[in-house]
Amino acid sequence: MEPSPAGYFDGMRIKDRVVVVTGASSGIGRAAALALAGHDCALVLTARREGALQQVAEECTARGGQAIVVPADVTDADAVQQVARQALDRFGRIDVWINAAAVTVFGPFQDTPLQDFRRVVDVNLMGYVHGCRAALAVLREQGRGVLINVSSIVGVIAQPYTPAYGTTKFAIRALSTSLRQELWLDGARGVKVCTVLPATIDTPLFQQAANYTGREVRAMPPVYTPERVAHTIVSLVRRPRREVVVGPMGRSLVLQSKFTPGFVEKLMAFQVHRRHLSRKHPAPAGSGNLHEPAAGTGSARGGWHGGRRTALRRTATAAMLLGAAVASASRRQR
Amino acid sequence: MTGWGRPEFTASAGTRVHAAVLGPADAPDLVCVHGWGCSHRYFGPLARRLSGRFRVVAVDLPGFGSTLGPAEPLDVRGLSTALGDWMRATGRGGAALVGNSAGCQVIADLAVHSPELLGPVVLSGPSVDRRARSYPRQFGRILVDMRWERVGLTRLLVRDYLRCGPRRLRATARFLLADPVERKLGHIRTPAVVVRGSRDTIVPRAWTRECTALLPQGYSAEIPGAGHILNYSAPAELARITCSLLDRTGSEDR
Amino acid sequence: MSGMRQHARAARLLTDFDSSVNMVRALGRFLRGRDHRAMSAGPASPLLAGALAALPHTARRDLFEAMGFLQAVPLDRVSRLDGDELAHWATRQYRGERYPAVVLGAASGAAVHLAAALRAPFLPQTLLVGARDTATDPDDPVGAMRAVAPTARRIAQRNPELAVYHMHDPAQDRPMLQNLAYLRLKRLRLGRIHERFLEQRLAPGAPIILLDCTRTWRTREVGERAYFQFGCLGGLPEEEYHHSGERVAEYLRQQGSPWRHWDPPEPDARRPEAEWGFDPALESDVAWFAERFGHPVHRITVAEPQDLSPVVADLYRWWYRRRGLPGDRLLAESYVQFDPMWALRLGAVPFWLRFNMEPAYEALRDYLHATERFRDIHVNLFSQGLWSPGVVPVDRWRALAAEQAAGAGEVLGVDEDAYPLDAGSSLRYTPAFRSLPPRHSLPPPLSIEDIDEFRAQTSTMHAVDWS
Repeated sequence: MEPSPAGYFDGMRIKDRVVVVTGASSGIGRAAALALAGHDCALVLTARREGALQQVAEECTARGGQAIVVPADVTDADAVQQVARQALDRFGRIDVWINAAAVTVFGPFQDTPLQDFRRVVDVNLMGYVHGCRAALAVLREQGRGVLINVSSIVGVIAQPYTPAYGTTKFAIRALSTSLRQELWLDGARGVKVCTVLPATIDTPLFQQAANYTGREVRAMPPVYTPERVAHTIVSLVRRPRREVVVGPMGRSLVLQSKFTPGFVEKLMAFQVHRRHLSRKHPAPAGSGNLHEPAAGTGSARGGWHGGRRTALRRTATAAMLLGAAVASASRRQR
Repeated sequence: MTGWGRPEFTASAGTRVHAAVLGPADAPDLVCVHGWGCSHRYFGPLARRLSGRFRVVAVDLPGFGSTLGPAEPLDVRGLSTALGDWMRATGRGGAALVGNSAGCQVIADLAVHSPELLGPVVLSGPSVDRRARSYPRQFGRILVDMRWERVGLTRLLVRDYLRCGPRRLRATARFLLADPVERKLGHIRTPAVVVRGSRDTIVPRAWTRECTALLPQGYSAEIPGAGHILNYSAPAELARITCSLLDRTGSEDR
Repeated sequence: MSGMRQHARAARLLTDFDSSVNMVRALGRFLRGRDHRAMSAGPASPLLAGALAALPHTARRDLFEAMGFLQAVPLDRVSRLDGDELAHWATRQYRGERYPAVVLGAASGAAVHLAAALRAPFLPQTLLVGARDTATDPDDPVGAMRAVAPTARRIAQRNPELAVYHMHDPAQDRPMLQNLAYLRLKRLRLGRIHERFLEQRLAPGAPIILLDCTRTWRTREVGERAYFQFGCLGGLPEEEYHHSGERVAEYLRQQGSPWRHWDPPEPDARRPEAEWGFDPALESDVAWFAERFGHPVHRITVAEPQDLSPVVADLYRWWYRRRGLPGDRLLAESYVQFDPMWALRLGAVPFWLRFNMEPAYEALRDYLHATERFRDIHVNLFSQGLWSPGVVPVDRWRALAAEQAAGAGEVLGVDEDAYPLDAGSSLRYTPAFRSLPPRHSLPPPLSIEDIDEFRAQTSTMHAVDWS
C-alpha cells in the first residue's frame, strides 16, 4: 500500500473527505450530508428526487462543502454503480459511503400487499447491498475508507406492524457484520464498516410511509433530531465503531433487551400499538412514497418537534438531577 | 531508485529528448507533460498508479530534467513545438496527454498549431490564473500551496530547479506569466478534464471553472483536500480521474 | 372477575346514544323494575339539565362535540374489537331466569314497548361503535371513507359474523362526527353468545319475535362485509345526500363549512340501512335455532322503522282499555328518550318518533288524524346538537299536540330556547314523564296470544306485516 499522502487523509481528520450519501433528499441522509458539508467535505448526493437533491446541494455549498447530485433509485444496482463512478470522476476517490435510503410500510403482516413488502426489502436491504458493493470495490482498492450503514433500533428489537422494515434493519446489521468479518480476514484493516442504530428520529419517514393499519403513523416518543444522528455519523468517520445506538432511550432499550428480552419485546409491541399509531386519527390505506417519491423538495426534519422534545427532556432531567442534589445536600446538613 | 523503466532518448527538436517510461510495451501510451522547472520525476507516483493500463511516458522538455535545452530559454511556443516534434518522432500522435500546471499551457499551445497530435487531455492544475499573473502573487501562492503537498516533493523540486538553473527558471516564468492560455484552450477539441485540488492556492476554483467552460469537450473534477501537484500528492485520485476520462473516450482501444 | 372486566370493556366500546344500546339498556332495566332515566347512563337531574341548557350556544355545541370524543373508542382498541364481547354485553343486561318471549332484530323504539308488554328481552342485530377520528372532515365523505376503510375492513376480517357499516352523516350527526366515526356492526349470524342465551334463558316454547325492517340505502363496498353509507335516515331524503342542492349549500354555509355541496363516493348497491335496516342473513340462523329448540318464530316486517309506532300505540291503548283504564294520554317519545316503565305506570299510550325531523312529525300527525282523539298529548324531543336540515321546531310540535288533543297538548321536558342544542335533554325526560299525574301498578305481561287477539280485533290498517 502506498503511504497515505499527508495533508488530506490522515486517519481521524474529517475535513476534505469525499462522502457518498444515499437517501440524501430527506431525513437522516440529508442531515448527515449537511453536517458533513459543514466540515468541508465533498458530497455526492443521491436519492430519487433530483429537485430535492439540488436543494440539499445548495445548502451544502452554503455551509462550505461541495456537492454533486446524482439522482438514482438504490434498487437499481447499475444506477448505484454509476453513483460511485460519478463520485470518482468528480472527486477522484471515495472516503465515506453512507447508506441511508430507507422506506417503510406499516400494516399488519397479512394486510400488507406483497409488492409493498418486497419493495421495502428492495430499497432497504438490496439498496444497501448495491451501495456496499459499489462502495467496497472502491474502498478496498483505495485500502481506506468508512462504510456506514444506517440501520435502526428496530434492528435490535423488532416492532409489530412493520415486519418488512424490521426484517431489513436486522438484515443490515448482519450485512455489516459479515462485511467487517470478510475485511478482517482479508487484512483490509483500513476499510471500516459501521452500523448506526437510531431510535425514533424526527424525519419525514413516518408521513411518507406506506400505511395499511388504518391509523395515522406518528413518531413514537422519545423523538430525537436527525442532527443527532448526523453528529454520530460524523464521529464515526473520525473514529469508526462497529455499532452505535443513537438516543439514550434506544441505548437503554438495547441494554434491557439483553437481560429481559421477553419483557422488552412486549413493551415494544404495546408502545407501537398505543403510541406509534394514532389512537384518534384514522388514515387511508396507501403505499406512501414506496413506489413514487414524495412530492416536494424534502427536509431533514419531519415536524415531530424532535428539537423541542429533546430540549424539554433535557430540562426535565436537569431539574430532576438538581432536585436530587438539593435533597441529598439538605439531608446531609441535617 | 526512480522506479521508472528503461529511459528513452529520441533525437528530435534539435536535441536529444529524454523520456521516462513505465508500463507494458503493448499498452496505449500516455504522455505526461511537466510544469515550470520540473521534470519527469514528479510524475513517478502517478505513473505507478497508471502503469497497469498504460505505457506512461513522462517527457523532459528541452532545458528541463535530463533533456539539454538550447542556451536561450524556450518560450511557450518553443516548448510546444519541441513537444510536437518529439511526439511525431516517436509516433505518439494522438496519445492521451496529462499536463500539470505549466504543462497544461504547453499542451494548449500545441493544440493551436498541431491539433492532430492531441488525444484526450487531462489538465491538472492548469496555470496561470488570469487574475494573478505577477511574480509576487505566484510565488506567494506556491509557498502557501506547499503546505498541502506530500512530504518529499520539496526535495525533489529543489533538485529539479537546481538542475534547471536560475536563469532558465526566471526566463521561463516570464514567458509563462505572459502566456494568454485562455485564448488557446478552445483549440483542445478532444475530450478533456480539468482537475484541481480543492486546497490548491495556485489554481483557484473560479479559474478552473473558466477553463472548463472554454473547452469544447471539457468537464471538471476536484480532489478534496489536495493541493497543486496532484500527480505527486494525490496520484491515486488523479489516476482514477484519468482512467475514467479515457474510459469515456474509449481511447484504450486505439 | 374476568367476566366483570370483559363486561366493563364491552360497555366502553359501545356508544351511549346508540338506538340499540338504549333499547337493550331500557329493557334490561325495565325487566328489573327500573326506569330508563338519562338513557340509563347515569343519574337524571332536571337541575343539572337546566344548568347545561343555560350555557352559551358555543359551549353547548362544544359539549356535544366533547361527548362525541368521550364516546369514541381509540383506534387501537377498535381494531381489536371482538363481536362476541358486544353480544356478551347485550345478554348480560338481562338478569332474569326465564323469559316468556324474545324480540330480536332491527332497532325501533316502538319495539321497546312491545317487548316491555311481553316482558321480553331485545337482542339487537346492529350495534354502534364510535371510532375516534379527529382527523377527517365531516363534509369530505370520500376522505372519511378512505381513512376509516382499513379499520372497517379489519373489524370485518376479525369478525366473520359481522358486517361493518361505516355510516357518515354530516347533516344529523355533525357535532359527533368532529371526533368520531360511526361504525355500525350488523350481526349476520346468531353467534355462540346469543345462542347460549336463548338456549338457557328462553322459556320452553316461548316465541321468538323477529323484527325486520326492509329499509335500504345506497352504499359502497370497501372490503369484504365492510360498507360505507353516506347519510342516514333523517331529515333529508336519500336523494339529497347524493345530489345535494340549495338547502344543503345553505346548511353548510350556516355551519361555517368550506364546502358547498357533498361529493360522496359512487354507491355500488342498495343494502340494509346501517342503523335501522335488517340484514336477512340473520334469519336462517334464527329459523334453524327455533326449529331445533322448538320455539315458534313471529316475524314483524316494516318498511320504515317508524311504521311500528302506530301498531304499538294501538296495542297499548287496546291493552289499557281491556284493563279498564282510559288510555287517553299519548306520550310521544323521540329517538332513545323512551321509558317503558313510565309509559305503563302513567297508563300512557307510547308513540315512538324516530327523530325530531319532518318525517317523524308527519308520522305523528298522520297517526293522530287517523286514530280516536286523545285527551292529553305530551311530546318529548331529542336534541342532537344542531339545526340539521329538516329539524321541526318546537312551535310546530306544540301546535300539532295542542290541535289534536281534546284536552291539553304540550311539549314536555324540552328546553325550548336551547333545542335542538339542549345539552340537558337526556337528563330531563324521565323526571318530566314522572311529573305527570296518574300512577298505576305494572300489569302482568301480555302473551303472544293476546297480541293475536288484538290483531284480530283491531280494524285499523297498519303498515306492518305479521307472519
